[in-house]
Amino acid sequence: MANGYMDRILIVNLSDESIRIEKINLDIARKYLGGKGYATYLLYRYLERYEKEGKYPKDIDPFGEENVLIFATGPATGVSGFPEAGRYHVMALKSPLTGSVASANSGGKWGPYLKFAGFDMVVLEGKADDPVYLEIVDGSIEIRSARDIWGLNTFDTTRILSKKIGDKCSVACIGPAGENLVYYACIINDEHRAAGRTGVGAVMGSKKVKAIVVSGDKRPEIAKPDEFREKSKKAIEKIKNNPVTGEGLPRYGTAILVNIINNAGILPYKNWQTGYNKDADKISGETLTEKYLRKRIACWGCLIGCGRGTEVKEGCFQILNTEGPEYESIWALGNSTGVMELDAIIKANHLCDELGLDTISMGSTIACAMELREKGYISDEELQGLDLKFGNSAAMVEAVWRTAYKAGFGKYLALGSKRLAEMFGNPDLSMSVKSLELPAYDPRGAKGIGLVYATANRGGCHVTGYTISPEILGVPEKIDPLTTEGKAKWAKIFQDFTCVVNSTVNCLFSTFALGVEDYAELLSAVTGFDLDADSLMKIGERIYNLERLIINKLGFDGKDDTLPKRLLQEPMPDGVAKGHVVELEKMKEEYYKLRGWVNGRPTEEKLKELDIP
Amino acid sequence: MRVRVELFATLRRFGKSFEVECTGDLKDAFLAVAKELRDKGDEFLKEIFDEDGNIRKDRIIMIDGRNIKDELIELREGSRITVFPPIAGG
Repeated sequence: MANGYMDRILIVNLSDESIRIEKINLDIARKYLGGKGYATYLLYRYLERYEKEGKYPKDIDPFGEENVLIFATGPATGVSGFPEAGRYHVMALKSPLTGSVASANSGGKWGPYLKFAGFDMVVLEGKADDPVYLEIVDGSIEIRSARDIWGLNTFDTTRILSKKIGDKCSVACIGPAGENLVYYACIINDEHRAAGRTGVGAVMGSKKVKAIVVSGDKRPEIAKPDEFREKSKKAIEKIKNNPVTGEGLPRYGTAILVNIINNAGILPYKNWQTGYNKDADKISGETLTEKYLRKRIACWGCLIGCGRGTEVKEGCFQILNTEGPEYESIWALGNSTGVMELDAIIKANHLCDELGLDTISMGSTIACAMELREKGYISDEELQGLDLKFGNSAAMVEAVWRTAYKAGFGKYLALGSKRLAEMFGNPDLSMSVKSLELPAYDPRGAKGIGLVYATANRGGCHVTGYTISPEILGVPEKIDPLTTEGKAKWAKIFQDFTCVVNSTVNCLFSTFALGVEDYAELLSAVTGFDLDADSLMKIGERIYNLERLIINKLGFDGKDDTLPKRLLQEPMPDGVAKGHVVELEKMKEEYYKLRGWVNGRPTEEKLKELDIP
Repeated sequence: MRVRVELFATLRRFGKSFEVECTGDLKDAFLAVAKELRDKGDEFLKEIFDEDGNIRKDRIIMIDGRNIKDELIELREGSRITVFPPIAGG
């Protein structure tokens, strides 16, 4: 089948160990592409089926048999020459952390290797009685006992399972955090890449699936090889010549953002109490490069190579061979917790990968606990010896393993910041939306990202629609971060385009150099579909709306498209955004109008217009 | 007036931070830094100005945290001018 797809969706029912294989439905692929889009469509069909059987979406237990976990690649994944096409997307019907749809994306090489193993997607239904792992090699599937590897960290799991197959394989697995159902446990592949957010690792753990190993010699075939070769050459030149993808990201990685975001007054400090920290340079990308960088690391098929191979040579946070941390991880484990020691942050980041924890939720939950303690909501006795106060690097690092094993105070940290803050008496100190901890940009100084946080379907998320790009970085053009004008339009465009990227599936960083026209040309050549910029953006809009329809069924609507009280009502105390709050209602009204939604729900006309489902 | 010019990312090859005297004009502050850099001054100026002598559009320049493309605020005594080459992340 020469259209980028392998034409095989693997569906495993873990309850009865049955395996079935379905073909890619090309009518669906034309509407939803692949990756996130196709997975969202499949999840919607499960919801419909459950409703017919009398199981209501709001009653679905995230750790129950009825939750569905999907690993999805797109037509471009694993296609040599398609820029940055080494990623895959993970979705589940319900996240244990948020109660909304679970959605995460990861790099490395697992996505391409799933296609080389002969499959586009893996769908996990039901749950196993005893721990298992899946081995998918050259088109054949084995469900094997994971009794001997249950309990191991992600690194040992990966090495043991890889050794059985040989060199050319990739392992996606959970660590102790996923096994112990920590609400924000993640899936780790290739040891240091994470399908990080919304607790997809916990869903995998609830199904008692330890790992999925993929390997094979198959290769996706494409519709128009000559045309693709020409478009690919053009796209690769754009990526190489663009200053962000050709120099900035390769040289410094994402951590380069620390100083610019801090200087713009929006780097949240000490659980978002302010947005400027005079010591931020201590944990910046420049400092990381100068003191801790060993080498650059790239995902499969990637020209950018923003990954950081790092080491802490000596001291109590020594770790000789690790990867990262990324900007978000540095901020969450560092600036948000007041910890300004980069070696401690690197160590904590390493532990998150080893044990399988989302760094953003981990760091933000620790920061929330620190502020709760500072303000007297958590007593010293309740901390059971864990001295969580802003700036305490040893306690921050200790909190990571305590969370993974739900040990001592860690069992409260494992719930995430929203439940933690509710439990200890001040829910407003959880800086989250739909219970997903917010990432590293204070929207009081960049109003557009505030709208994105509020309206992202999976919860408080920046990559859903990265309006920081125009607001702070000036890409593709500079817009004023302190105003609300025009932000609704930007949010919608970025959200729809990002759905395209996550359905292709390739890396969002390509979009610093490539536009939707480039994607249309490349995808047309791969799939043979007749795509242009408009039709591709329509696909993105369709995916966003279908996902929104799912979360409406799960119980979310306009009242949940909001922000923490601090961002709506507490003026920024200092920095360039001093005195600002987020004027969300104004932006939301315009956004809903543009979206064709009423109270956070797509209208019937909008669904008809987009031919949903 | 005395202002501080701070450089980031690849621009740090010229140094991290410079305290300079300037007339209050942004361009003048950069010329003052170039003077301090002596034989590296010309190379520095190429990083800031284009061939027409205007500030390069691909530089991210802030005065006290405010990007000059959003609002060119006046330099005051003690102002911080921060300069970044094109960078991004997630």
